[in-house]
Amino acid sequence: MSRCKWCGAIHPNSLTIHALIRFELQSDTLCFQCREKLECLNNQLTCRGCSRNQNKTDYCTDCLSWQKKYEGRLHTHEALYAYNDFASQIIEQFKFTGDCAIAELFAKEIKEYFKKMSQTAVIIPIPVSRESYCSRGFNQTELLLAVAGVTYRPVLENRYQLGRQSGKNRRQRLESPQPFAVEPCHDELIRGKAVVLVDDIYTTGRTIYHALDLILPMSPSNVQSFSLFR
Amino acid sequence: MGELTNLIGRDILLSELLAEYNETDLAGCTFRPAFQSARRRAKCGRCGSFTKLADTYPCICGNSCFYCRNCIQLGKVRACDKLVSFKTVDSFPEQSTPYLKWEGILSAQQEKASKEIVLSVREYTDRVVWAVTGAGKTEMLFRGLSEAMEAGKRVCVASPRIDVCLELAPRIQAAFPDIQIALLYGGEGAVYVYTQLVIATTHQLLRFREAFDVLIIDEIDAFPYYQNKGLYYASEKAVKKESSTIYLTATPDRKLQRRIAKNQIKASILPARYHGYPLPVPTIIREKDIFSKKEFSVSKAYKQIMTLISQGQTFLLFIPTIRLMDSILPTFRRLFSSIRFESVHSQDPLRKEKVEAMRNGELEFIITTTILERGVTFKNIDVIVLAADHDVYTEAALVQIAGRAGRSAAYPEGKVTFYLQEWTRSSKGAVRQIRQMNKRAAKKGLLL
Repeated sequence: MSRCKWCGAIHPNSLTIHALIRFELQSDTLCFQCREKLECLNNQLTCRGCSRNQNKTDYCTDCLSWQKKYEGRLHTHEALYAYNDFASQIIEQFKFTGDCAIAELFAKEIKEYFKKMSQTAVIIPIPVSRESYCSRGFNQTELLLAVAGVTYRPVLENRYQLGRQSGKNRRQRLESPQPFAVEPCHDELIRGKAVVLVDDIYTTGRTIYHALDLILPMSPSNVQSFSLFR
Repeated sequence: MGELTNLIGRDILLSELLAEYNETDLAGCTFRPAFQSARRRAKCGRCGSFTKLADTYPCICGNSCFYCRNCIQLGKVRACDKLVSFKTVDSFPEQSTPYLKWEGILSAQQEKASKEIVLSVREYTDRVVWAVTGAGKTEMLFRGLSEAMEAGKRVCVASPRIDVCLELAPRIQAAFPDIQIALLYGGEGAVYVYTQLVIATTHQLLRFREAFDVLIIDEIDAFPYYQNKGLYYASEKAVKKESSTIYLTATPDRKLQRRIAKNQIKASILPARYHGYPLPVPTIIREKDIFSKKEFSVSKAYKQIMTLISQGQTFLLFIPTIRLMDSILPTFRRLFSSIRFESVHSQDPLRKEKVEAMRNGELEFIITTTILERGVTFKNIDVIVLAADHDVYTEAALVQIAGRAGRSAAYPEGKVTFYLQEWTRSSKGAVRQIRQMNKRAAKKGLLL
């Protein structure tokens, strides 16, 4: 028996053959009911550009308009789960209430995801504004990666952001100016390497593309991005 | 700038206070570390639950700190933080004229209990008031509250349920028009002020420390107080060393019943309703697999519902879980397409409005989960419980549900029907408890 890290309900450990063979007797961090509320994007029809849940695998209108802006550059973003009501409750508790232990909920899945990345890939978390960092005491994306045991490089800095992205509407988000900066000393690290930008949620894509604007001139071999929710 | 008086008897995080107070202003306060460590665990000073010392995360202090997950909804208690309280004697004036402006009349048994409560308050002793649903508990409190406040004591009325607090507040305010009440519950957003009388959810009690001379906890058996040690801790922490705690319940759990029987805690037992009619005893109807039936319309329950509707009798229909409710709703919408009814559950944002509509007679019936099991009163109502043998129904819940019927003096004979496949401990216990209370009332000559 173990306790669900979200709702606190005690649930039986489901023992799978797979787990038995690999001696993985660790139980799920979520109970069955909570696990069911998470919408896994893995086996669903999603946009090939941003993992948005839709009824086809073609690029969605958002991605097409980004491609227009970036002269045909095809970006790939992958996400684990749909940002549904349950996910937004989780994020609320994690970021704004400050319940760091939420990071443990996704450690296994995030670890799994980065396992298939090449060893030399540079994993760069999106930084939070200084204001948010001071009031929370942590950067949720870095914490997600750290708890999952993924090595990351905090290359980007958040210098100019005013206000929270989540407090803005879609238009305000899309019009928000470049909040990030990067020290030129990181050039060496990135040149010719595969880069993965990581954020907790992908909503309009604005944040990721702001980061791209700074990373692309440093001539990495390839850039893709990842978020927990989409 | 915050007032120091607002910290009297409070238990607030220093990090929260620094938004309003300068550190120098807080000089007169008592500071405690947020956690007390014991071996590999640490005990949260606010809620009393334990956290592993090893569960640390990056913190605002720049180091890694553990924090309390249990009471995080009230604001994060971090290992590096402190709990602040302003310790001073309350200075509410003593008063010779009564604060109580309520002029209703108490029944004989209410009168007796009311006097016993006054005595407990005076003598700083604890007491359980075991009163059946619809006995008129709130009114019995008035005199005790009044006397306590006239003596300059600080008083809190708490309940685990927000609904109960919201219903209590206006009634208590009407009885004590000259007293300022602080009504505290999660998400109310109002600014806290130091008052002699506080009405709060039991969760909010965690924000108090040695604050009250008298603490009254209504519906102690209600979720989540039941089986929640943290909130017992809260009530103990919120009262002064010399104080009186009054527990109100219609359905004490077995442990409390045993303590009452053994005289380990003083008890006032009110077995009769204020109108003098006995509690409706549930009728049991055996029905197999009520939710998996292909057609609900062949069930006995359906027949009864149709009869009630044709008689124009309004009723509550209890369903064990939201999931089962969702599964049966389409059938109901089809079968009762011409009937006005609604469904409510805990996550329903329109809960209040729907209950209000039911009260105004705009609906024939409401399908509900256990959310309406207590605290709500409808005038003339029957009660049907589908799958009363389901795990979610504790003995207390079933007694409470049955207690929704026949509450008003004008319609004292509401009918209660439990549909079940087999007897459970809870359903048996509930029927036994209701019969027992009726017997007790009859013996005492309290029934009409």
